Amino acid sequence: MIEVQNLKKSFQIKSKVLGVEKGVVNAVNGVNFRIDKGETLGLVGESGSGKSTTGRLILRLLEPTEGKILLEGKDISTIGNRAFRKMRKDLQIVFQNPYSALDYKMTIEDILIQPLQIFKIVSPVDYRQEVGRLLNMVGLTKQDAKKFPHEFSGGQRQRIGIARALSTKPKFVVCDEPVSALDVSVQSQILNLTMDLQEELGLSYLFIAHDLSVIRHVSNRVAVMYLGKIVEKGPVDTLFDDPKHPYTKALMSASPLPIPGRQLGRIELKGEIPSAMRIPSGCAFHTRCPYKMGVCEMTPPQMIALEEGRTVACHLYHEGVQL
Amino acid sequence: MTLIEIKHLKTYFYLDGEAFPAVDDISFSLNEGKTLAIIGESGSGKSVTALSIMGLVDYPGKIVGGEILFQEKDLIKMKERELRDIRGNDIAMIYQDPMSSLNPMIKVGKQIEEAIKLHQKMDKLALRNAALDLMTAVGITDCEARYHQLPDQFSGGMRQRIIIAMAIACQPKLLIADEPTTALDVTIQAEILDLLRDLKKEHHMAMILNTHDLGVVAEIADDVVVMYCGKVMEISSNQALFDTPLNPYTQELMTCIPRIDDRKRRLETIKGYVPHLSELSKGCRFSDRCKKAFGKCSEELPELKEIEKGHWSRCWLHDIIDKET
Repeated sequence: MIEVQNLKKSFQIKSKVLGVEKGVVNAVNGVNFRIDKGETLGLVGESGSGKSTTGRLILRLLEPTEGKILLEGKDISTIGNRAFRKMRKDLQIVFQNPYSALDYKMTIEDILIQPLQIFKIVSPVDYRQEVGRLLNMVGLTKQDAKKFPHEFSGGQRQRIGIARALSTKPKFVVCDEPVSALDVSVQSQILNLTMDLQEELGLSYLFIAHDLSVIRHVSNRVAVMYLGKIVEKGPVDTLFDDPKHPYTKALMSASPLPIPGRQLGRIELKGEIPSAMRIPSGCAFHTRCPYKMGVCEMTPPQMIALEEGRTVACHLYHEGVQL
Repeated sequence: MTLIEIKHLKTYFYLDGEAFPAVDDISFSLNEGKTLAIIGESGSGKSVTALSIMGLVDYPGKIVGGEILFQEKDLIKMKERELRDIRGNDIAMIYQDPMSSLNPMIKVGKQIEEAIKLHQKMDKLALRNAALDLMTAVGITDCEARYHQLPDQFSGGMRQRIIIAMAIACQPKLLIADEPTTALDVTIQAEILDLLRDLKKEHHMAMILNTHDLGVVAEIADDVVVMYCGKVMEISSNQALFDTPLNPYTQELMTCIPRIDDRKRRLETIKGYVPHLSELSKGCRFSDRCKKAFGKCSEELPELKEIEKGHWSRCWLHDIIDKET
């Protein structure tokens, strides 16, 4: 469905305002992945790892500096803006914050009709009916169409955000932290809804989250990102049961489990994620890695294929050799 | 020994002549050196409880009833001047967002000194040394240089360490932590939780930790209070809460959280949403979302009862089970 090749994005910081240094922020630094039809790729990493930037690049909300984005084999990164606008309906996004993602001055009906109008999804006489259908699909009622966003709770607003994303009948949806702003008791409703809709409509998702337990539930495959690069990729169950990259291991051991008195077998990391303006040489993770070797400071590790569908970028693993 | 006991605390907010019961008749106590976790979603009243203890409830909120006994003295009846001696000295608080609780224009070292100066008399050099010691204690390396830096030169986790250094400056007996790790990444969260655990042990400090994360509760708490819409739903020891949760709200909450160690793809859900304080049911606050609710639940509020020793729950179902046996 969608394929990303050597995707890069860097931001120039030009002025020296308020002590901000001049320089280049390499937010996304050569990312490769593929998402099949009906599949969910979970993208996980700490804040500052470039997950959201990757999502935005695919939708061309940001222009990539380098690399290719292929939608059903066609490169969409070089198409002109005007032509791309027509394709935009195939690519949609659900945002993190359901409070700021909806215009507070528009009724729900207006919010949902806008994309129908722009992309001529249905004829104007059918707008009402289509809005009703969309609201039903996400578990709201026709009566909600006349209300304003402030009349809804966070979970309901996220449902509206999902309805809006699906109004253009997209093939591919980026879900950017769709549940992290919601109450714990509401999160599972939204997670189940996104998964049900995927099955019903055959959607492909790029699901971005920092919460590993959420990623485990929604993903078919998972990619772990660190400082703009994917460090490990694989099918969800094998990756979670047996993480390979030291960073993945550390992330998993740091996630608290609802089991009191559990022995904490924690892999401690040194310090915090470095700034994307000063990405360490060699393996970007070597400054925090507990298994650091001499080679890590000098040479960036290559992506190595392990068993079925799993890849890892770490000097600890040589092709075909298991530690 | 009991350090703090809260009895029938009521904190209401008054808007347009209407009273909103943000904290509605809650009672619990905490012993010296223990950690109590208050778990609840947004609007549960856990933050307002913390602010009530600190005496920081602001207009339009007001404490309208109850007692907060800290070392057997009622904080609510105290004058502001007396309270100021306790606040920051015997009871300290850390907040969710470390950036907004630091002054962006003052060197962090000076800010830590300020926290000490308020309660202890010291000369300049001793003050500086005390601040540097605190920075070391919370795991900041290269203190001498860091002392002169401004908050924006620190990362989120480091800022939270500064806040913790300020909070423990006067060796408080009670530390209130309001969602201290919610804004942080998991790896940093793990470090901050470790730090809090160590400090607690070293200084024999009691802690009230507000969170919405059951995982954090399991890792750090001795006892747990479960709150929902201003009411306490369940009080229990940490182990008992996860082994045998008694209240339907707690039970349902536990089945609907995704878990990293769980392969199941489909999650249980709780229907509906957390109600706004203006639309509470007159019966049990959870009744309109509860899977086990029956007629009485939406009519009358059940009492918080001790079902097993040290394990309290608020639910009409316990009465039915009592009658049957």
